[in-house]
Amino acid sequence: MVMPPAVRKFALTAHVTTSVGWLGSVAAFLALSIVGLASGDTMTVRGAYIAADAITWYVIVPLSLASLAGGLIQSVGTTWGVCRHYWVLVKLLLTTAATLLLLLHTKPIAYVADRAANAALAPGDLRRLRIQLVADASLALIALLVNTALSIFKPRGVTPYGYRRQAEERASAPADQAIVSLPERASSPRSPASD
Amino acid sequence: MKRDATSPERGDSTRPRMPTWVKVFAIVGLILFIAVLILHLTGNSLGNHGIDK
Repeated sequence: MVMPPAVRKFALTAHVTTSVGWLGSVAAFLALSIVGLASGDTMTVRGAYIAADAITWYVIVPLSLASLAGGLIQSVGTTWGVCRHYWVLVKLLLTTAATLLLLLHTKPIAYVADRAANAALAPGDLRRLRIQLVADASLALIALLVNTALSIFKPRGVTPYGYRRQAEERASAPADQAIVSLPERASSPRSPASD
Repeated sequence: MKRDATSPERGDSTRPRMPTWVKVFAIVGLILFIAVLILHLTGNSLGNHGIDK
């Protein structure tokens, strides 16, 4: 089920946009969580955590879900496949894990924001939780940077399933037809659908 | 047949081995998973994330 070139490019654009947007918004969240943790000014701390909560719900969560969906569409709709190549599989696992952990962490983010909105947070208040927000955002940023690198470099490696599919395709192809295993078989004459 | 990045590294008759970078990722992921599990079991994270502390 290979997408036509125009559809593929649109889907790729959407996927890249949401993925990079997710990365940028996590970086912004990290900055806000660091300010909230380090600042001694009550109003600054309050503003930082309220903004972090808003950015989580209105930017990070939608972008993460869109990125995950876009990646699946890109995989299924091109000859890269979901499970044929290790770089695709690792990206999928990282994205899924990051999205699930993000959804788990919306509650503590909202809790800190709510506490900050209703009362001044002293430097020692909720300190472990506030440190955890910084740590979690840092780890998320690293995961997203790894995903970005995988997208660009596409390190080699075919899974056993991908190897079997290639063997089947070679076996079923006519004898006088050269088989190209890469997504070059997709309708685009240039390099495959990639992000 | 055009040789490409998806073709087996040692030729068509040999099943490709798992690349080193995948093994490294798997090890790092396993270490992180175990670390998170230990933190969780010792009551340091994930459950309530320090809420009410």
